[in-house]
Amino acid sequence: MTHFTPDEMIDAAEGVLDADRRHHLEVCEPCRREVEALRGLLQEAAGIPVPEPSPLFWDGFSARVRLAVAGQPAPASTWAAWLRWSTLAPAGALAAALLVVVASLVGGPTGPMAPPLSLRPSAAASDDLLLDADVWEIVADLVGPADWDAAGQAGLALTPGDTELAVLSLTEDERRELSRLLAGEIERSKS
Amino acid sequence: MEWSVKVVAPEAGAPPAPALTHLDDAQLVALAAAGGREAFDEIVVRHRRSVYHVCYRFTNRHEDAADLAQDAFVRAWRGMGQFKGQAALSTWLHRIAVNVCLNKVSLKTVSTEALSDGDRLEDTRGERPGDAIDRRERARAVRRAIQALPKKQRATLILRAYHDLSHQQIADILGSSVGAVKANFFHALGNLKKTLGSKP
Repeated sequence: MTHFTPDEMIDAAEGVLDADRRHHLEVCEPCRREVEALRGLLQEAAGIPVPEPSPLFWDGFSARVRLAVAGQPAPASTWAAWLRWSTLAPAGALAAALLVVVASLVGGPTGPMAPPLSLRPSAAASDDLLLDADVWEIVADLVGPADWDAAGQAGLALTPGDTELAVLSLTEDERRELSRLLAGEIERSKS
Repeated sequence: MEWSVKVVAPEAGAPPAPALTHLDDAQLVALAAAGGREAFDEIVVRHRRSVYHVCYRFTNRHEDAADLAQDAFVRAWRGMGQFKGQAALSTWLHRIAVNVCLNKVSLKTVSTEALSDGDRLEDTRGERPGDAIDRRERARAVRRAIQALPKKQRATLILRAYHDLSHQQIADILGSSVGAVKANFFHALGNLKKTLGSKP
């Protein structure tokens, strides 16, 4: 007759002993006593509660963690780390600027949005182009000094979590493209 | 006496955005890994109690447990990019909390009278004073015996007895095998029996 191993003692105490070893429990008094003692200890230990902190503690705890995390950089590695708000904000501005450029090039010199290129008109530029340049300068003057606070006051600010939700809703191709744009922008800023 | 109620608007940014509360753990992890601090806030809200409990079982002191739990969450934030989702988020957080406790608890004084936290907060209403004292004494002895266990035995006992983790989950957390976990558990209970047997 082989007595229980420590593994089997634990299995027996937890009631998951293999069927072919259960018989031993019935016939071996020392093993049975040991299993019962373990079971009793386990129940006793498990019955000792953790004193619950005050309900007010949890909000304070979250605030502590938030403060501690605020001093930490965003999580490292993976492409997702690219999608930080601090990266997305300038990248979004860059993307908007690119859109303006592309739209103006496609729309031609007389399109509704004058291209930045027209800010440096050639000597052969037409009056129309110069007029568009003036308009562009007015728009640039108006928009240029606007910051996030001003955008918020204008009702354009994002609420917490909006950026992440927007990124989550992107398709795989869109994420790839965003990642490519961000990589390009970071490379450009290095050079 | 005149009563008044003051209604105060919540601090901006303090609670997580309502939309985040509807996301599951995997979605929150994806957002937090991308730098979403609000998403991480929500993760903290969901798991803070359980992480705190792990830490409390190691220290038996509220202040120490709160510090260790905070440290665990800061580490979780830093490692969020490495969490690949093979295990449940709760298991991963437990692993971090246990590692923080294993690394730091030994550096702290294991105060035998730190156990008064549990006594102070225990509800003994409706119990005879003598019974309450006996039970309290016994609970104190059990807590002290658990605290005196070698670290891996203590971690195994805590995760198994109090957090109902499987042996496999505990093995994952401690970086060992199921066999080693069961052996640790067996020795932990054996040591408790020895300690408590001599001090009933």
